[in-house]
Amino acid sequence: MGMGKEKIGIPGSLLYYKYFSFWKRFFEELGFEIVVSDKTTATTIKEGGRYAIDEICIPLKLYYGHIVNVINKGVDYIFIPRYVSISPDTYMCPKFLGLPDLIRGTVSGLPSVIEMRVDMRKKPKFFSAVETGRRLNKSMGCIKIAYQSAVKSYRYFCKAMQKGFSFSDALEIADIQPDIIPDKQQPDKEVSIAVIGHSYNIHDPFINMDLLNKLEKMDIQPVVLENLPSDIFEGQTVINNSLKNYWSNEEEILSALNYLFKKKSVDGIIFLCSFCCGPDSLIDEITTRNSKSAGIPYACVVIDEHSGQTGLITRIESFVEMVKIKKKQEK
Amino acid sequence: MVVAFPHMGNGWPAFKALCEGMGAEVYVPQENNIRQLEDGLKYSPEWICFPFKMTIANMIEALDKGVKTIVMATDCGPCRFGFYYAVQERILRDKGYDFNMKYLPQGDLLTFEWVDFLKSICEDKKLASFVNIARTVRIFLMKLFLIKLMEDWEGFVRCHEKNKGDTSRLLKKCITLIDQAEDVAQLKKLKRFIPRAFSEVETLGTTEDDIVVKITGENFLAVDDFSNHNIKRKLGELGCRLYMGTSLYDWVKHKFHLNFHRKYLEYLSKTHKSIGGLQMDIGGEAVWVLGDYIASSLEEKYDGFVHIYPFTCMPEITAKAIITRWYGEGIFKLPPLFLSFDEHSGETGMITRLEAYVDLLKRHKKEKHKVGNTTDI
Repeated sequence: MGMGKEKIGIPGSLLYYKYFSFWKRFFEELGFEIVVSDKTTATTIKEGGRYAIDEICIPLKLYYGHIVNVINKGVDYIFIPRYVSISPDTYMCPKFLGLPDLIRGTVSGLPSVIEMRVDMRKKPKFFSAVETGRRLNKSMGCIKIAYQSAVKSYRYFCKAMQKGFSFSDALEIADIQPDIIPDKQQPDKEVSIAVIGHSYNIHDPFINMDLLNKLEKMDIQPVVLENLPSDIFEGQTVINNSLKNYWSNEEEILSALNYLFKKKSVDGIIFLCSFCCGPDSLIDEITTRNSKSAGIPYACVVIDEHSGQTGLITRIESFVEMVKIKKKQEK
Repeated sequence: MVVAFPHMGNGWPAFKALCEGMGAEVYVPQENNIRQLEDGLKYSPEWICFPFKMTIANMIEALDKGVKTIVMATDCGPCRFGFYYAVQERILRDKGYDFNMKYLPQGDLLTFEWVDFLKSICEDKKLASFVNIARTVRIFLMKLFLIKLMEDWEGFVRCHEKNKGDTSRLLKKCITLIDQAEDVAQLKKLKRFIPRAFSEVETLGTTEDDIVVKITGENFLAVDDFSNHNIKRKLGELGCRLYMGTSLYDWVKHKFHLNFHRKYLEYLSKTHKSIGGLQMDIGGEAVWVLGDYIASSLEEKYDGFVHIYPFTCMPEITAKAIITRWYGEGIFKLPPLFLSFDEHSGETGMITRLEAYVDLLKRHKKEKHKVGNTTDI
């Protein structure tokens, strides 16, 4: 390997769309080189399909593809985090809980796995970072600096996302860390539609067939979860006055949807979920019913690996058309 | 107060005793059947796991009969089960039913939240005493134990029965007896009666050449005969001696932190280095299924391993994926059969699969014997 830095491969899927800015800065500060898998393409699915099992959701199938892709780039480590929970009272979806086990158990020829276990039911995130750093034989001081820097980078990323920058732009901003994040020039569009769902579905243009850009072309202002004010995500959503929601990712989705239902700041909502997604099958049922009482047009778009483009476009177009007509009538 | 609860396999006598012990009247929904299920499907989310569809079907049936209080168990995550009751309540209310949803928190029975549940269905203050609750729970646990005992014997006996259907008839009789037993003395009598009755079933053949199969998987599907298309009966009739890897009794014991067998299975699936293992409980029965596969592979007596789970159940799929990957390597010589169930009712396809599987097991067994003989010489 020569004198170069050791390389850590990060598959560009699943929680990559949420925490990559954090991971990247953290490992870079610890003295590693980060290698990210290529953007999702049809080959990603094909390559992942060799290992992937049936009945799993499409984002996980893609994750396999990204793993194969990043291994082929020649890395010393591969980073597969285990996010158990990101707040004291919640869990992540079961696939994140068992992700390193699943990958280790099914993919042969893995480089050594860096597994960061984040379980905020038990301990703050800093401890997870320390554990990971110590396993890589880094000093406490070094880890602390890396962690603080990573948190800062993650904050920049979140702020940029909130201002409406695209995922890749926000990553860049998190890298540069400018003094002031500029406001994004938003063309004034009359109709806005919220596209709500898991970040790995929303920000991967391959998986959702470039839905955000398609909406923009139809003269619609798309609003995503990250654009909403951050204070609405505090607290736990209670369903039916009795059940405290216990899924972290769904917590965001539910809070966002409840906020939109209450504020009515958008003209329509598209709920994007992947086929076989366990939590979303229930969340969708509840929000469909809530949207009826709120009176906001709502469409649940289900994606999997071979949804025909045309079918999706037709659905989106007709939904957009309906929203536009409704808006006109209200005027 | 009349209460109703959804079915879970043969567990209803135990739950009935639990509610009746607290002074509530119980309506037991009809045995799970296809017409009921169709009602449930109409009101279920599209790709929810199967137990949701079956339990909501039971609820609809009970509500149509005029029951005003529904009891549903709930968990604390991370799997979908914990969401069931809230979503079901919402769906049924939107459908226009006026009813009370009582939920039985069983995420961790040592938190004793279930005592509040028992008190909430208890209208007679006298019955809410500590003594009565302890007595009721004891009877509940004993009944669960008897149900497990009966189902274990069912698995051993059916493969040899002389008159087809004897075992199933005896099973029905036992359920009625368990349901009718009212106090501890009667239940103790039953504990002696069940093994005797099952060993008196007329049998043919010897137990030496039995194909021995371990059945495990997601709890609901594994114990509910309608939902798993009577897989136990079918495998039994094909000549397999069955061992159940899971049961309601196991589950309740586990939730009281007293199931040391499950702790052992957890240990196996965490520490088995070659597999990489499952490091934590990820919901469903994934950890135990994987642990059970390792344990069964280590034991000589098993010939096959059947894993049952609902379609799209992520935790179970994780276990399945790991088993599939490692089958054939090292100690893992036990052929696994994975069956994921949804509401489809095509029986023939399943029978063919089971027959092919049993044939495969028979061939494996023969080869094993041959190898055994040659080494003897």
